[in-house]
Amino acid sequence: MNFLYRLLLTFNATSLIIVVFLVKEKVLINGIGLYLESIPNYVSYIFYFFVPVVLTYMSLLIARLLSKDNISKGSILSIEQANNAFLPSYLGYFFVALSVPYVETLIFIFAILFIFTFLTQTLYFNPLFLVFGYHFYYLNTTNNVQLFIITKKELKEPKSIKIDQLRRINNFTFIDIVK
Amino acid sequence: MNHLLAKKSGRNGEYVKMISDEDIFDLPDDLNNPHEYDTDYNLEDDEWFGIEQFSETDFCIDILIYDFNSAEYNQIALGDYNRLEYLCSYQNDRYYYFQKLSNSQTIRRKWFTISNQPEIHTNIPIIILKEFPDAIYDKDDDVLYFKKLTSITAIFSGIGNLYKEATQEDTEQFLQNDFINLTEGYDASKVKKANRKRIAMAINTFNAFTPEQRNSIYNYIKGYCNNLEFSDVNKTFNIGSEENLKQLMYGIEQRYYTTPIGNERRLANSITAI
Repeated sequence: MNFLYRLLLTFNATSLIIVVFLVKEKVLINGIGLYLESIPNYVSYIFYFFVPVVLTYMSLLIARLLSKDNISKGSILSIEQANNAFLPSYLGYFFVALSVPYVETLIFIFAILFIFTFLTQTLYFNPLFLVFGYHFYYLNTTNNVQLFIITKKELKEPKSIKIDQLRRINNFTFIDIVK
Repeated sequence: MNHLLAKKSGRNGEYVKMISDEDIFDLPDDLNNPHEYDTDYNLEDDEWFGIEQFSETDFCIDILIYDFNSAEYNQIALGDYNRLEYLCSYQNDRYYYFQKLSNSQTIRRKWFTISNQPEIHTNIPIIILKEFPDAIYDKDDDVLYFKKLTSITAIFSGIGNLYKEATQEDTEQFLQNDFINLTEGYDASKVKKANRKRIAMAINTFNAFTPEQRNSIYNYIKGYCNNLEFSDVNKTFNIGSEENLKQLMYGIEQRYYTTPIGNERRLANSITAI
């Protein structure tokens, strides 16, 4: 269960590459049916974009079923904002997608990125979480353990941090399901 | 939120997280009035031994001192189950419940649940949680409660020192006392753990006796222990076995008594000063 969920998260985090590639190649959904022939190109692009968005939303719903954890007040020593940490790697993804010439190359590169994102564990950075109002933080506990937290809360003051409804994505990454 | 952790065996064995948000153990209602640990004292069913200011003792473990944060612990993996030492359940932000694990507590049998359509389960080993944990630590009051010292020595290393055991030297010295005559090849090397504990206690008691008191103790022991041979000439007891030594130790601790009504002769299994 947890393994499948991590696969889904990894796919969500990397799937924008495919979207960028499809947009670049001007692949359209118009050819699928008669009624779609007259719609403009951007409808296809928006459709592509919504696939990862919907999958990300589903992953947030499934998160409720994961193993529970909590962070009690006073056990956090420091906070590091991580919202922007993924940007460099993400821009990298986009440039790769834009410069890939063939579908075979894309499949190969996507597979490599997928495997590495999956194995990196801490890097399930999915910018689409930002769309749903989530933020990324590194929290250091008083026992010197670093945790990666995905939450809607704005965390600032370490001493006052108290998160009751955490769900464990993996041993380093946790998501707060409370709005 | 409550969390159940397990400690993996080995020197650097880490804790792993098992279950969250469940009440694993219930708080016993008889924790008030704990008894200070004493080898000679047998607990009543509703009593617990208690060690106060436990966090300042040498045998306190780190997890009881540090801030508790379940997210710091890795989730248990299937391979970990073979080498779990004990369970630790953190509940109500205050209590730590401990249960020692041994192989015998993992049940690898076929089993079924009690229901209308029982289904047999094979190859699904289960671990049984005890009704009462082996130890409970109350973080607010800083007290460790337990019932049996031997079941928590694996959890709190060094806590076994709470009961004193006579060293080989002490034992030899004690057996050389004038009133003891070793027979049947019995000597200090044959004294087992239980008797060493008794010797450790009895040495102090015996050394505090005056010569007259010693004489009356000999008579007292003689009166109660018919199996224990006493030579009136040399004023010595013949000690040839663990059983003889045990009876002598009980005698020195004055554990034999006669009921005032009915005149029944008895041995006090457990003693405590009132």
